[in-house]
Amino acid sequence: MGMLILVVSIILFVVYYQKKVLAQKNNFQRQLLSATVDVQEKERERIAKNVHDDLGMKLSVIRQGFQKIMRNTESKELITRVAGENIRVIDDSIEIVRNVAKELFPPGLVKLGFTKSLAELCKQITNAGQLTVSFMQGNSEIKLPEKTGLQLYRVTQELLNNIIKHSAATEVRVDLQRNETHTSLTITHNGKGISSVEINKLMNEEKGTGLKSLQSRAQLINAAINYETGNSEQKPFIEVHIGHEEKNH
Amino acid sequence: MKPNYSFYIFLVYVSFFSTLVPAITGFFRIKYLGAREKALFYLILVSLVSESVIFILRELNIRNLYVARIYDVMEFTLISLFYIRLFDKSKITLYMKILVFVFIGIAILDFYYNGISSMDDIFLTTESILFMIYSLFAFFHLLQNPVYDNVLAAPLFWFNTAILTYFSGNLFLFVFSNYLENHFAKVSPALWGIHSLLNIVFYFLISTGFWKTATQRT
Repeated sequence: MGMLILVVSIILFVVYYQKKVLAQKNNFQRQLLSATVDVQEKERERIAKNVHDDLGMKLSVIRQGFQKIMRNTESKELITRVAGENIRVIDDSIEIVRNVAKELFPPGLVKLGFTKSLAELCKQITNAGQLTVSFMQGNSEIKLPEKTGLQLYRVTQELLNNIIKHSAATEVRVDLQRNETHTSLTITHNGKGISSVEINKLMNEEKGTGLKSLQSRAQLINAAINYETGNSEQKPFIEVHIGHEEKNH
Repeated sequence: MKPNYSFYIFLVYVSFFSTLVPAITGFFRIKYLGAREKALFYLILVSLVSESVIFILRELNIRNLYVARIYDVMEFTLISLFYIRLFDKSKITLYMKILVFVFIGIAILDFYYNGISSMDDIFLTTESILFMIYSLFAFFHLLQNPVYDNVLAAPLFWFNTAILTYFSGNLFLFVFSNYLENHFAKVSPALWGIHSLLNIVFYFLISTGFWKTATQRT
C-alpha cells in the first residue's frame, strides 16, 4: 500500500513538473513576443520622429521657399536664389529618405546577398571609426534563405551594437563558417565579455528588452546564441549557431 | 511442511548481481559524472565490494553482519555527500555535514547497545527517515529549478527516486529487523526477500540516472 502511494506520488510529481515547464516556456514566449513588439514600436517611434523632425522641417523650408517665389514672381534674382536653396534642401531630404529606407531594410541584402551585406556592414562600422571590424568567411560561398539571412543580419547588427556600447572593445572579428550540419557566425572581440548566465539574468530584468528581441529573432531562424566571457587563452566571443533545417537556394 | 525459501534466496542472488549494472553503467559514463554523481558511483563500488564479501562469507558459513554495519556507515556518508553537493549553496548543507558526524557516533553507540551480531536497526531507521526527508527536499529543488524540458531526462530525478523508494520501502524492515529475527524467524526471509527486491529496484534506478548523465544540462 505504501509503495503504491509512493508510485502514485512520483507520477503526480512528473505530471506537475511537466506542467510547470510548459507554463514557464509559454511565459517566456509571451515575454519574447512582448519584447519584439516593444522594440518594433520604439523603432517606429524613432523613424517617425526622424521623418517628422528632419524631413518634415526640410519640406516646410521648401514650401516657404515656393511661397516666397509666388509672392514675388518678377524678381529673377529671388527666384534663382530660392530655387538654388530649395534644390539643396531637396538633396538633403532625399538623403534623409535614403537613410531611413536603409535603416528599415538594407537594400544590398537582397541584391548582394547576406555575406556581402555583412562584409559591407563590418566595413561601415570600421569606417565610422568606432572600432575595427574584420570579416572572415569559410572557403565556399555561403547562401542562406532570404528570411534567415535577414534575421541573421539583424542579429549580427544588434550584437555589434551591443559590443560597441558595452564592451569597450577596439577590435572585432566576425567569422562566418558553414559545414554539412550547421552555419555558425562567431564574433570575437578584445573587450569585456559576458556569459550566457549573465545574459539570462539581464533578460529577466526590465532593461533586457533588446536581448529578448535578439533571442526572439534567433528563435525565428532556429538559431542558438552562446556567450562566452573568455579567459587568458581565449578572447570573449559570441556564437550564433544555426542547424540546417531549411534548404538553401 | 517446511516453507520454501528458494524464491527469496533467488532474489538475494539477483540482488547481488544487480550491483554490477550501475557499476558498469557508471564506469561507461564516468566522464559525464559530476562531483555529486561520483559520490553515488563510489557508493555503488563500495556496495559491490561489500556484497561480494558478504556473499563469500555466507557461502563459507562465516558471520558477515559486521560487514553490513561498516557498509551502512559508508552508505550514509556517501549518500549524504551526494545531497550536500546538490544543495551546495544552501545553509542546510552545514546541518547535513554535522549530521554525518552525529550519525557515525550513533552507529558506534548502536554497536555497543545491540552488539555486532544484531542489525543496527536504530541507525538504519534514522538513516531511512533522514534520506526520505533529503529526497523530498531534492524533489522540491527540482520543481523550483526546472532546467529540464522533460524531468525523466534529469539524472537527479532517477537518483532521488531510487533513494526514496529504497529507504521508504525498507523503513518497516529496519525498524523491526531485530524483533523479526528473534520472534518471527519464518517471516523474516520473506521480508529480506522484499529487501533484495528493493535493492534490485534501487540499483536499476541508479543505473538509469548514470545513463542519463550523458545528456544532462548543467
